[in-house]
Parts: sequence; structure tokens; C-alpha cells
Amino acid sequence: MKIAIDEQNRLVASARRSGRLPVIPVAILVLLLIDVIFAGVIAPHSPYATDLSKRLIPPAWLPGGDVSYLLGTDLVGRDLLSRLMTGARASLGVALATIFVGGTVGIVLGMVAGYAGGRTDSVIMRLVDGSLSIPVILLALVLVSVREPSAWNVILVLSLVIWARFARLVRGEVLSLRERAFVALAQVAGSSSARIIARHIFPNILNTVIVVGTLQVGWVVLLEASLSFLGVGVPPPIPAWGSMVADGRAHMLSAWWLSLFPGIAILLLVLSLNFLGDWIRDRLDPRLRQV
Amino acid sequence: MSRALISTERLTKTFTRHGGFVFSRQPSVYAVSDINIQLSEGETLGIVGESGSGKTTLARLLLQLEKPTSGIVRFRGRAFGELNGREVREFRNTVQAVFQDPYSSLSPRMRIGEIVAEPLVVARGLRGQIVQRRVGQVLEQVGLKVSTAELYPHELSGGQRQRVAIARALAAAPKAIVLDEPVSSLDVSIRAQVLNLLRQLQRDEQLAYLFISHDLSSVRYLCQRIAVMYLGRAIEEGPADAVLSGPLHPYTQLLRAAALPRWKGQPGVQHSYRAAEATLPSKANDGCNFAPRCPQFNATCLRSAPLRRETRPGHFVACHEC
Repeated sequence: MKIAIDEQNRLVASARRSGRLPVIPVAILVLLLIDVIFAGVIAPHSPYATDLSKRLIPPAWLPGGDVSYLLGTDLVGRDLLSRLMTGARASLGVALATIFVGGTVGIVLGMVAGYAGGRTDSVIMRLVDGSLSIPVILLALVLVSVREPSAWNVILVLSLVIWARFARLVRGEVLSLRERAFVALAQVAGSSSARIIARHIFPNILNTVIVVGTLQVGWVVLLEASLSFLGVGVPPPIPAWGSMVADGRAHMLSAWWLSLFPGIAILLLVLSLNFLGDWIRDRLDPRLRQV
Repeated sequence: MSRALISTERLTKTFTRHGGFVFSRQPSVYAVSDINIQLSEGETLGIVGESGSGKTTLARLLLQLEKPTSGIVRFRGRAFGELNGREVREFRNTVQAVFQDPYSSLSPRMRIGEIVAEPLVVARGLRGQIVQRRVGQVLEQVGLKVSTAELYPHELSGGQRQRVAIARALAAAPKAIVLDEPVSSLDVSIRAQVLNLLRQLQRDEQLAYLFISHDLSSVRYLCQRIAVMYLGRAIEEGPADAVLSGPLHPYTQLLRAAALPRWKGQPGVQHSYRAAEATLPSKANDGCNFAPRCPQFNATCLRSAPLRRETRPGHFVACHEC
């Protein structure tokens, strides 16, 4: 009896917990978004200006630190904090652009595949299987060696991977929606397929799409960081967190701050996105827990 | 003879069962087999039969939601394949539908007003004030408040939702409505209200109904003619009174005995209901496909399928024994 009550209290408590907006992650994300927009204005130094007389200054609270270089400087004397603040653009900007491009393509193709069925469905789903089986990093290396490295290429590569996840999920949703009576009734009323997809199918998958979209942003941020780490991401001198981790790797023992702070930035961003994504999922659609 | 709105000729729909590995195909299932029916203006035709008898497939075929395997559906005497774009729109304006499940019939993300307005907007191409007025009008006609238009489906009960579905079907002033088990998922008190509403509307608007149900009493309440389906075939068809008070086919007799033990004071007929499952009509059997369950079957029934014949004017039956 006691156990049952405890269990019930625990469930109620966990339900309450999951219902609360995750304040800290949201605060972090809001700050980062402000930073993405205003980095050029609020950064204390230029992220590009080198000053060899000020190279490898440690963070301000360490002996030899300088308060005007809060997180220290890198090998060529650039302010680490300013580079981190500007690097948020590469990380979050590329991630959001990827989710937008890849998400749109995936949603449209997923809806077409699920609604049309038959051969169209088979072709699109084989493309999905194909793109899910290509290693992202390899694809990026190939693409960058063929084309100039640029932020657009990174968005392209990541979109080529991410669209398939959206397409597969959306198709599944559409398959079950298509059998619902209101779709048949729309046909009886004379609605075209385009109208049915736009007016009856799309509004009903929107929740799912929002949930998956948020959860995928964190994954894309990590992928972008991996690509920059390998030198096939956003090209230098534009700062990106992944490439900053890579640049500091060789000096890990002497100047550990070079890799540590961008690493922490990536961690905080991805964690915050995942917490927010989980919360939105629980609010909108608890059925999606396995995604 | 009144004008035929929809008629079918030897309408047949088979489904291929895909099973096993890639290319192995199971034999086809005859969901609807050789159906000839006609729905005239202002007429109410009931389709009865147990679940799996092909009633819903028949409805979907008539509504052009499925393509027939063979046979023809005609709209005002013209085969469907021959209709041009304008005539197809005309068909969509003329024939509407109400389905069984009022929960999945209404798109959860649309307001009631938009749902009801859809046939007007899509098939009639109307916009604005006229649409709003008509929506209010049909909502009142089915006994809902005009303000219901502002609500979402989840704010309504099952009975209210089914009224919305009916209002939507009425919106574009159709000549015929296909009603596929419209009251089966409603509880008894609401069922009676909705049946009354349907009868009222039929009289007011001179509508033709194709009323599909497994419930003989509601069919009797609403319909002038009845067709009884068993495993995809129409085994008996005739005026509602004749079919229900003097059923000829043993299946109709069983159905009536099960549903209405004392029909008009007649003693309930005791039937030896043979405990065989309905065999899946997996191929066009040689014999009568009711034979495995029939209390009166004989050798002829196993050898050849019975043909449809007219026993009295307008009363058809497909059985060797009656």
C-alpha cells in the first residue's frame, strides 16, 4: 500500500517536472540567439584582429590573465571570448539553416511519398534509405574536395543527411492520416490532392514536425562541429566552435583554454536544445518518446 | 420510373492479398461481386449485411474512392470513365457522404465552419458571405447552433459531430447522400435523434439515400428498398416491407430472426444456424457461397451458383431453394 502511494507520488512529481518549462536551457538559448544576431556589436574585441604581442594570454582569473581578455587569447593573440561569440553564428546559424532547408525538403517529400503511395513512395523511400546509409563525414570530405569550402556547402551536406529523417517520419504519419475518414470525405467533396495535403494532412503533422525539428537541431550542431573539427566545415578565418577545438588540440597541456571553452559551448548548446526539445515533445506529443 | 442518379452494372472489386516474400501473391478476395443496383432521385435504398459483406467497399466504389476491378458505375446513365471535368464536379456536388466514425470524419485542426464549408468552397467555388450564410443555415437545419461554426471537433460530442458531418454533406445541396453506418457508433438515444433528423431531411430536401447498415430496424425506418449483401453479393433485393416481412433467402431469414425475434407479431422462426464461419470468398466458387452456413442447402447449391431472379415484381433473390 505504502509502496503504491510512493509510486503514485513519484509519478505525479515526475509529471509535474516534465510539465515545467526548462528555464536554464531556454535562458542559454535566448542568450545565444541574441549573441548570434548582435555578436558584431557586443563582442569586446574583433574576432579576427591578431596581435602577436598578446598571444596566449590565459583566462582573466589566472596569473598573467588580463581582464579585457576574459577567456584569454589564442596563438595569434585573438580574443577567445569574441571568437566564441562570433562562432555561435556558424554553429547555430548553420544548424537552423540546415533544419529549415533539410526539413522543408523532407516534409514535402515525406508527404508526397505517404499520400501518393505506390511507385512514387518506393522511389522516395529508397532515396531516404540511401541517404541514411551514406556516412556524413565522408560525404562532406568528398564535397569539400570537389567544391570550395563554405558555409553553404556545410548546409548542403547536412541537409542531404537530415531531410531523410524528416521524410521517413512524416511519411509514417501521413500513411495513418490518409486512412482517416476526413481525407475520404475531402475527396468526396471534390478536393484535389494538393488541397488535401495542404489543408488536411499538413496541419495534422505539424506537431510532430516541430518536435522532431527541435530535437534534430542539437544533432546538427554536433555534426557541424565535427565537420569544422575535421577542417571541412565553415572555412577559416570565420570562427566555428568545432574548428576552435581542433586548433587548440595541439596546445592542450600548455593552453588548455583554447579547446576547453569552445567544447563547453558546444556542450551547453546541445544540452539546452535537447532539454527544450524534450519539453516540447512532452507538451505536444508524448507518443514520440522513442524519437 | 424516376431518373437513376447512380447505377452499377456487374460491379466487382477484388483485393489481392500480398503476403509472404516479395512476389508471392495470394488469391484475390471478392469484396464486391457482380452488384447491380440503382439509386433513383428521392429514393432510399438500404444495404444490409454482416460485417465483411462488402457494404463499405460498395460505398467507396459508388463514391469513386476506389476503382472497380470490373463492371461499371454510372452517374445519370453515363459511365464514370466517360465523364469530363465539369461532369465530375457535378457528380461531387450531387453525391455526398456520411461515414460511420464521427471522430475520424472531422479534421481535428479545422474549425467546424471550415469543415462544413469545404464542399461549397471546393466543388462550388464559392467564397465569403454566401458560404458563411449557408454554413449557418445547414447547421441550424441539423439542430446545431450557428455559433458551433467557431468550435473545433474535440469540443463536440459524438452525436454533435455526426450532425456536423450531416450538415457538411448537405451544404452543397446534393441530390444523394451515401450514409455508411451513420448511426452505428452512436448510443441508442442519440441514434434515434439522428435517424429522425435523416428522415426529416430526406422529406424536406427530396434526397436520395444509400443507407448502409447492419441494423435492420433503422434500415426499415428509413428505406423504401433493401438489398441484402452476403460476402460481396446482393442475394436479395426488394421493397423494404416485402423483404423484411417475407424474406425469401435463408440468409435474410436468419438475419431477421437474429435482429427482430418477433417481427409484426409473427413467431420468431427457429433456424438451425449451422456453426460454420463465413468462408472467405477467395475465388469465384462454383457453388453458392452461403451453402456452408445454409440450413436448407442441397447438392445443387454445391454445384452451381444461384442466379438472380425476380420472384415478384421488384423483388429479386439469388437462391436455388426459394
